[in-house]
Amino acid sequence: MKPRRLFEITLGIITSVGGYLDVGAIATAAEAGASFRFALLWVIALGTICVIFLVEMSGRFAAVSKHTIRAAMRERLGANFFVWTYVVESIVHILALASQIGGICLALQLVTGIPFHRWAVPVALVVWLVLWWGTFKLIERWIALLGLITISFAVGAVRSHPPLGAVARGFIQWAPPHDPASYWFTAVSILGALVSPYLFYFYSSGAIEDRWDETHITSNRLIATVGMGFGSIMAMSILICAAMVFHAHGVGVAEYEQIALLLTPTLGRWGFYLFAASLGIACFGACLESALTVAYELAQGLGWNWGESVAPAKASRFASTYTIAIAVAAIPAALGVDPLALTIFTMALTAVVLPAVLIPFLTLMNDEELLGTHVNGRWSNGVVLAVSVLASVLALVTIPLELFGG
Amino acid sequence: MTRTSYHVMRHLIDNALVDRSDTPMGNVDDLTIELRDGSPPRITHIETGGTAMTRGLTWPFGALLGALAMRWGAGRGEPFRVPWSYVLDVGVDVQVDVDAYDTTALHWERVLRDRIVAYIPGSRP
Amino acid sequence: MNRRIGPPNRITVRALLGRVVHDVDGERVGKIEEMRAVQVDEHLEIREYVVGAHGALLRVAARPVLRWMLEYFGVSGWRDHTIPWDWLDVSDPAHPRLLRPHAALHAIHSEPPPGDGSP
Repeated sequence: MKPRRLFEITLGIITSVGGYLDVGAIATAAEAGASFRFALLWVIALGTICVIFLVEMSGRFAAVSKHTIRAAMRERLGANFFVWTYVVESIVHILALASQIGGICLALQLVTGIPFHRWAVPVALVVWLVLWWGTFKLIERWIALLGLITISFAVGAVRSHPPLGAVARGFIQWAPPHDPASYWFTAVSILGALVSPYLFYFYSSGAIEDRWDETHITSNRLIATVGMGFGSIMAMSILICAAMVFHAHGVGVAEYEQIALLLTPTLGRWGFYLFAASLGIACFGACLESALTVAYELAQGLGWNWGESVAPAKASRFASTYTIAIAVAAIPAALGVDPLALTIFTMALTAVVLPAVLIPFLTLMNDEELLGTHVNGRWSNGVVLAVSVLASVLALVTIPLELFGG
Repeated sequence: MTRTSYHVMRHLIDNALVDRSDTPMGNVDDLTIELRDGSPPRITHIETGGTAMTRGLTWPFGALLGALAMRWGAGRGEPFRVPWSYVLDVGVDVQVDVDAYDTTALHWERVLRDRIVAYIPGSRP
Repeated sequence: MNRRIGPPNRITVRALLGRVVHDVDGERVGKIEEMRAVQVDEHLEIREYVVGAHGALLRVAARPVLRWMLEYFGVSGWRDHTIPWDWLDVSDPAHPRLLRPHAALHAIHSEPPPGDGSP
């Protein structure tokens, strides 16, 4: 493997920082740690395994078939299928985008004290400007670099000296220690937060933007594992920090201002700013990804010219799409809708919709005409199918319980 | 041509359509068939855009987008037709020997570009 | 929606897709799923129609996905018929007619052609 390939790990990291570690992951991991200590670590591990498989498949698909997932779905499953799934998924993507914009606004509120809804328009504008003026490579590299600030979560987790035995048990035992309805709902929210559909659509489009081919298959596996592994370690660190800081003192996590104190016991005043910066940057990456995904999918499905590296004048419909998506997604934050509530809602919705997204993807991954000898093995199929069905079943069962249980 | 025989649904319908310089110009939304007495039916044209695109959609999108295409579409809903003889290659995409910007397939792309996008700084390389 | 363009000897592929084929006795054969065409000079000639015998499945958006899932889990018995072009009258695309009795198809094809229609 060429050394230069190692730099392509940046695609993995940005996908991870944006798609994996975002406001949803941060909120749900913190909630999990505060309420159930280390008991939900296994869910993060499960979500990570599923996402590594998905991202690897997504990259392999793009590299071998030279299609993006969306374009291939239209070709193989038809125009009608495309339209229906696009409409449903875009609603989820735009809700996710709205949550991420809210996340950035909250980070800014934490640091400046200015209420978050006043930040909605400026934040949306900056996100749009970066997409309009930037190129894919530029965004990929900068977000990957800035995203490294999230390592502060890992530092915080280590410095909190968690009891390793309890941590290890959190990976093995999955029975709820108390309050089963709330436990499973949190588990479902974590899965919905981690396995975001826009994540692997983005990755496949990115692989095409970066012009991957069959020689990338091996490096793709490494990139997927390291990239998602990175995000996973950070998510687990957040859970551990929350367990040590909040659970130990019986404090629940209802407000973002509380979560912001996650790193202060271990890192002092710096911890507060590092948290805000990590939240802001992770959400910023997520904004770019989800906005691009809405545009990628429409353009690829309808046969428009597309590409973040393409100047907007050459891909006007594509550029207009992400512009409109950002504008619409800024509305909830501008109206003062609670970003935390919106996030939790979106994550649960994502979990329900997951099989509808993943099963068509699986049909493509087994298509010999597109992938030749690189079709999925039984493990890849099994893992993805199992987790998506699990997530959906849990979601359908626990969402009503949570709504009616309190 | 890379093939001499095709599965129409698999290799042609809903596949991406590109012009001679690989610029995307939509999808192969439909194909015109000429029926002949005593001879096999012939596919004569590729159709893209307009109502060709909306034909394959169920309610409500088919009706909704069809109405939009007829009201606002470049050819008032009429799809753009390319004779099959213009096909250069059928592989990942279906490539035809035209210039996309000369056709109605990119009408809205041009309109958006010239009326809005071009005025925003940073839109050109 | 009128799918004829111009003179009645011109139709489109989508006008035929999914249409139910009946034989000379009025018996239902299946739905047109695929067509095989061959390049001859400057045109493509349709040589065969593939008609799928799944009357039970509704024409839903996810039909190809459902079919793949069933095949993946070993549900076989999906019979596709391959009909030569001269056995099918498509002059009325809404009502394609098999010009032979249904049984004649079993004589020429009794198993699904390889790689046909499945992802």
